[in-house]
Amino acid sequence: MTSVFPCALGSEIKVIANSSVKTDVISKREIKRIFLEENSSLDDGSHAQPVLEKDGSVHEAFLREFMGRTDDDLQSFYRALVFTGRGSLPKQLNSDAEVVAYVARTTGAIGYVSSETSTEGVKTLAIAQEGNDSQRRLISRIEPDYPETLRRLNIGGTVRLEIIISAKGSVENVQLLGGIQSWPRLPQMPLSAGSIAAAIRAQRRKSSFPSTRIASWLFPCSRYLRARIIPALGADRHLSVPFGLCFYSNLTEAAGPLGICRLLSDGVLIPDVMRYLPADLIHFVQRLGKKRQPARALRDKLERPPGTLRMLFIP
Amino acid sequence: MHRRQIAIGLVYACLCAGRIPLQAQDFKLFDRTVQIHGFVSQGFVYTSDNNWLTMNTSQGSAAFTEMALNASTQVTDKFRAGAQVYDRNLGQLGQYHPSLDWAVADYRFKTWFGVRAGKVKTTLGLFNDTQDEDFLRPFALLPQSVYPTDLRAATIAHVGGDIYGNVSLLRHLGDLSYTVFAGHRSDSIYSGYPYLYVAVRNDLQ
Repeated sequence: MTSVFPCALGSEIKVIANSSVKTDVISKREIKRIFLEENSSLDDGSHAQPVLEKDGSVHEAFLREFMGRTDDDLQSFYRALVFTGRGSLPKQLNSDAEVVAYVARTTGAIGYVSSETSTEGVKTLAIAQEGNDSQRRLISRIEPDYPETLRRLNIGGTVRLEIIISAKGSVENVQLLGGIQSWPRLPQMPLSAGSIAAAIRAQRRKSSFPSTRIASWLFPCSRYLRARIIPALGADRHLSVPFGLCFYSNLTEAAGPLGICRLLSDGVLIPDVMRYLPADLIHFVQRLGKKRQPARALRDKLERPPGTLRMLFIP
Repeated sequence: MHRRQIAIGLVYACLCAGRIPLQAQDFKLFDRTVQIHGFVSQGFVYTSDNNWLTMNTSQGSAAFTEMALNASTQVTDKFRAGAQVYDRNLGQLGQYHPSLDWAVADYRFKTWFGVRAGKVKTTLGLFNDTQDEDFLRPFALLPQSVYPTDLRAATIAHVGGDIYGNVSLLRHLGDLSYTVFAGHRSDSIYSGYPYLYVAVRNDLQ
């Protein structure tokens, strides 16, 4: 299982690459393969060659973190490759500055430097962590905002989006699969598919980091969502996530405007489970509508949803 | 009296008095980096009683010299080629007659599947292919019952090919490397049975 969050590697070192390396993300396993010369190219086909430091704390940290062997072992390994004709001796340099300079001018070079080193002219690769959920962290979070007009008018709807999330966690592509037309109770769709798409595009233009609204809605969600989505990301670097963002306002008679406002201001994100579990959702919204049961208390109570009630929360 | 005749226990000290792994030198040839590596290693062997491995070890022998020089290049990401010349003098074996140690063209299709052809070092046991290099040996000399250095020429390499690869096992179970080889091995007249034959024949004549 590979998570997609670029993680600090104990924040001691960072892995850098020549700009000819296409990928932005590299797994520990791939790094090991490159440095043990089992491969001369990355999974994406671009040429790669390792660059090491001769000694020092950065080198030690790298060996500990990625190679799991001592410097002596590694040197013996390289010598065995060289003198049996199975590989060559990788470049070994004296300092971070030399590594950066060499990586910058050498096609396919991949090296490592201290995390404080300036890496001008080279790219820093994010490390895909393998199988460690505790190291996942939220990249950015933007609270969903519900248009004031719609809120006042008590209008909601469903928009279905297909979101491609890169292994780095950024939103690569957002495609609209459909609007609210599928919802028979609302003759008009105020949140049209076009307007949502425009909003997303605008947001992406504004932000330097492409992981904006959609990703931030997805990733801080509950463990449930992570458990469902992240393993799939590990298997394949890109994943289509058919996912509905739903604002059910006038869903049932019991759900008054007050309940809906609270629902949204608490940042509760409800997936499109209507088709499968309508009774549960209606039940939830009905209870939310009761003034005696404030939303926060209800949310706390539902952190572990009973039975088949599948709700997602933004904490 | 002549306990030496039955005393077969050897006490030997083999000192790698000098070992000079040459620094890597690279140069460009047709826009490809060619690496040159080499080493020279000098040993000293002393045994309390019997002479060993055709060296005059009971008085201490320094006739234990090995050297090699190789050149190799990564032609493309998947294809590499190289060759090594090896020379040794171990007692009366080798006698500084250089031999082609390996000359290999290697195409690695995938991590789990590659092909080598030419004169290829034979992967056998743990150290067969690296037994020449004293900096890769865990001891000064490997156990002679398993890696007989006097039969080196007949065990070290084969003219033929390897199919090899590295398969990742399920997570956390590590990797599995495999090598399948086929080829022809030839002995040298400067070591092993051919040398024995020549030596005995000379004695008989």
